[in-house]
Amino acid sequence: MTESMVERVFVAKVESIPLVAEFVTEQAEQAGLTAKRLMQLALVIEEAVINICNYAYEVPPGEVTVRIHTDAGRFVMEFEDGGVPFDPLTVAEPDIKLSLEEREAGGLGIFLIRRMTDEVHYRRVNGRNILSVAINTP
Amino acid sequence: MFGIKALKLKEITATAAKLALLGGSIATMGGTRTLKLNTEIKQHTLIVRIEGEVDLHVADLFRERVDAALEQAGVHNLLLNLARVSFIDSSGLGVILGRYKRVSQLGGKMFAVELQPQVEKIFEISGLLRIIKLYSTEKQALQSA
Repeated sequence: MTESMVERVFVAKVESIPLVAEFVTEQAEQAGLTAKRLMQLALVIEEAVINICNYAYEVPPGEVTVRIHTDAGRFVMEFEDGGVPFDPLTVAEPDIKLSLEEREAGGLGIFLIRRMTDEVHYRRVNGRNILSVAINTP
Repeated sequence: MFGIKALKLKEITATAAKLALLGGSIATMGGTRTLKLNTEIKQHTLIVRIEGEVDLHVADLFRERVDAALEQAGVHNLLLNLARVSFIDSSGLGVILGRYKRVSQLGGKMFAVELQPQVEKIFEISGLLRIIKLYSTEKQALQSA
């Protein structure tokens, strides 16, 4: 497979999630991701975009740029926003072994993103948050 | 699967939440997503059959409708039939965990049946399988109610 990079900007609101999903699906299908991986991507998109919609902008809605890199062996999605600095990877993971009463609330979204992907990274560049997730392709 | 999800979402154009209540069935549109609930009471158990995608768009309405049905039914056990649920996110999981807590506090039991493999995987990853009992059929779940 040849290397490629595409990106698209969306309004950071939950109504945009189907549009993000459509955009990513097209690229993921071209990259040959399996049906199982496509479903995992759907969950990752949902959780990542919801996080940005709910927490990134003090005056919503802002924008979210979705960038996709593909090369031999990897499908990488980046979610970029210009909101307040926030590294979701610093959020404590829920301890799923605890009983429901003992569990701390929150953190399930980023926990699912971690479990559904092969790599997750966060960086802050030029005043923007970039969450990068990678999935190994067949 | 993901492509189908995106296509289905495109076909739905409603932007305002609306509710239709017909007998034991509830069709809910939250944002641009649909969720259908069908309820029945059997053996002191409220059975909720869910159809659609249980995510942020419908989570609040899902919670409200299940809570109202529990209150109205006056029963403490809750059985969720997820045979027609193709997708669930952390918001949907949160609602299910909250209903588990409520049912447990009332001394009831909660069951889930007929999970599609991808939904069962999300239950497993998020630890719900440690809390909620899964059964293959409603009949099997009701036998342990």
